[in-house]
This record gives sequence, structure tokens and C-alpha cells, in this order.
Amino acid sequence: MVHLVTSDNVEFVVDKEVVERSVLIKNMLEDVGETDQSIPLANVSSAVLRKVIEYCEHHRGEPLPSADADQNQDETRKRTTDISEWDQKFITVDQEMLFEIILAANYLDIKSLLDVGCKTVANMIKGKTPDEIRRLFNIVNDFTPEEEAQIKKENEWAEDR
Amino acid sequence: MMMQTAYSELNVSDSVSDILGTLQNIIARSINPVLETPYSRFPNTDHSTIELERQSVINIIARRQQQLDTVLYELLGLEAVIDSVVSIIAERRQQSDAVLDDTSDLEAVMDSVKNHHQQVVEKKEKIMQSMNLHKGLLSALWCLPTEILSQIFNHCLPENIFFLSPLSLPVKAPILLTRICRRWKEVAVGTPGLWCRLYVEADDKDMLKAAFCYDLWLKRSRGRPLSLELGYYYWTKLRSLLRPYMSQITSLHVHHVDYFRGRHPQLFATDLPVLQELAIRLGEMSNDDIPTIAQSISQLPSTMRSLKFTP
Repeated sequence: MVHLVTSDNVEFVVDKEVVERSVLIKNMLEDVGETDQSIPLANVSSAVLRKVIEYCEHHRGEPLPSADADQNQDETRKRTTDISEWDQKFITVDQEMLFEIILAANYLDIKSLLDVGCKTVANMIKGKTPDEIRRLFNIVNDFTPEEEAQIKKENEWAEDR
Repeated sequence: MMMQTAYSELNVSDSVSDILGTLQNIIARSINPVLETPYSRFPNTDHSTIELERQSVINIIARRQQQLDTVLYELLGLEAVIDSVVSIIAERRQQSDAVLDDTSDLEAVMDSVKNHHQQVVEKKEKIMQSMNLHKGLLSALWCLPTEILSQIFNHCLPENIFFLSPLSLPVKAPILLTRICRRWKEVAVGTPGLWCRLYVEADDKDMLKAAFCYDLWLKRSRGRPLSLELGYYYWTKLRSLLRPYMSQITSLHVHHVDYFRGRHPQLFATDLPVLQELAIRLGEMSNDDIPTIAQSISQLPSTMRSLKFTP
């Protein structure tokens, strides 16, 4: 069993096979060997780690994606809409938690979880207008009028057709 | 204000009707004397005759005195009316001036209020802009590192960018991602993988604008392998457009070969040194094209892995 301590000082005791879906933790365990000492996760809160562990437990035993899997962009794109039913349900959380999970997956190096998070955000973006996207993510349109004109120029060829 | 105006109007109408009443009375009493007498035609002749009818003349004078008195009275009345009218006009002018002064003051106040309103509106806009900016900074999306945002953008690409009409490009990734905010544009433009696939349709319509945009798109691929699909086109224009990118094209889908019409270029051979995949939709290919296409295929580079023909 592996002891993990979150940024808000909550300790989790997790099965090694589960926690090793994180390449970061797997490498750390390989480096330090068997230890009873807790591993501090300064960038992950307990609420987020609970979700991450839930994900890792569900996917326990599945083969880890190979390191060069992301090299093939067409493959990556092909998988865009392929989020399994369980993953979809798992990732149906509020925006803040979604981004926290993405950040945690990136920090802990859990490629498949990062992928699910990124695909979910991408699916939220698809089919929306710029205004809808700004509203959805609370993004400010900070283009100057000159920049807006440049964007218009970059697209007018299509708009004219 | 409305009541005051109505009241003023009432005042004006009362005064005027009084005056009109007085004037009508004066006119009613007005006389129209006949001043001709047997003597009036020769006043300076034959005084002896006049002397004889003295009494008659005295009577005439007396009548004239009466007439004069009447007319003087009428004049007095008219002068009184004139005085009244002048007085009313003066009073109304005074009121009008006061109203004008008031209006002028009110207009100045209105200008000042409008100016202040505009300032407050601008202040509100700035506050909202700043608030949104800070809200945006709190948004977890803003905290995502560039490489993650870039990865999200990669997933935003349409499943099949080919067959997308140019019209739909601005509303889909990657162009859509450049239209949200500065950071997204920076990240999208700085992610070459987003710009490696393109459906190129070069006809003679607005070719200059289209060339500018296709070139902008392909430049963003920064030397990465390109997958292109060529639609209906004029080869000469397309050739010059794609010239800087020939050594990047690894995958090429060609539609409507029938449009080559015997002017088929050495497209698949010497121009594309790293081509790996070629798919040709033959359509109604002209017989003139067969030898040139066959020759081009025979010269395909050694990098080729896939060659497909579809009817």
C-alpha cells in the first residue's frame, strides 16, 4: 500500500497497482523502493485526489498507453469522441473540478485521464460560437480593434464565398 | 408644468378675447359720417351765399363736433386696446424670454447630465471589463499550462477536416480558436499540429484573398508534414500557392481529375519529394490525362506507401 498526503494534509492509503497508473508515482516508487513514508502531493487537494483514485481504481489493470501514443495526431483525433460511458459519467463534474482533475492528471502523469479531461473540454468547445465559448469559460475578449480587424481579414476569404 | 402651460394658455386666450370684445364694441359704435355738404364743394367762393345760410352751417359744425367727439372716443378706446395689446405682448415677451432663459439653463443642465452619464457608462464598462478580466484569471481554464491548452485544441479539430467547405472553416477549429482571446490565438497559432490538414479549393474567385489565407494557414504548420486535399482548381494558381510547401506534403487527396483537361501537371512526381499517400478520385477523366497521370505515377517518390484510385 502507498501513503499519499494531499495539499490540505489528508492522507490516502492506496493500493500500489492503483496508484501506479500515475507515471510520476510509479517512477518515484521505483526510485525509492518499498517505503512506509508518505508521498506528499503538494499540487493536489484531497477532493481532487479522491476523484483521481476513483478513476485509477476503475481502470486498474488496464495497459498503460505507450509513450509514443500521442505522437500520432490522427490517432489522437480519431479518439476524440471515444470517451467510454463510465469515463463520461466520471468526468461529469463542475468546471472547476474538471480543470483541477486535468491539472492533477498532468502533474501525476496519468495520460489516459488527461486525455479524457482534454477531450471533455474540447467537446464543450465544439459547435459553439466565439461568444458562447467566452461565456462558457468566462473568457474576456481582449482583442484590440486592430486585432479584430486582422482576424476578420484572415477569414474574409471564406466569408466572401 | 403641464398645468402651468394650460393656465398660461387660458390667460392668453382670456386676455385676447377681452380685447377682441372691446374691439368689437368699439367697431359697433364706430360711425361712418357723410362729410359732403352743399358747401363743401366750394368752400372759398361766394361768401355772401354762405352768410345767408349761416344757421345751416352752424348746425353742420355742431354735428361735426359730435362726430368728432364720437371718433375721439373711438380713438381713445382703440388706443386703450393698443396699450392693452402692447402690454400683453410685452408681458408675453417677458415670459417667453424667461422661458427661453429657463430652456437655455435646462439645456446646459442636460448637457452636463449627459456628459456625466457618458462618463458613468464608460466607468461601468471599465469596471465590468476589469471584473471580467479578474474573473477570467480565477477561471481554472486560465491556469492550464499552454501544452494542455494545446492538447485540448488538438482534440477540437473536426473529425474530418477534408470536405469542409471554406465557408465553414471560420466556425470550426483551428480558426475558431484564434477568435476567442489573445491567449487562445497565441496558443492555436503556436500549435503547428492544428494546421497540418487543409482542403484547398482554388478557383478563380477572389484568388488573392484565398491565397493569402491558405498561405497563412500553411505557414502555421511550421514545416510539419502536410495532408492536403485538392478540390476543383486551376492548377497554375494552385501550383504557385503550394510551391513553398511541396517538400512538406506527405498525404494528398486529389478530387476532380477531370478538371486537369489535358493540362495535367507533373504533380505527383518531382514536385512532392516526401509524398507517402496519394488518393485520386478520377471522376470523368479525359483520355488526354491518362498518359500524363500514368507517367506521373511511375515517377512517384520512393517514400510512397499508399496509392488509391476511386471512381
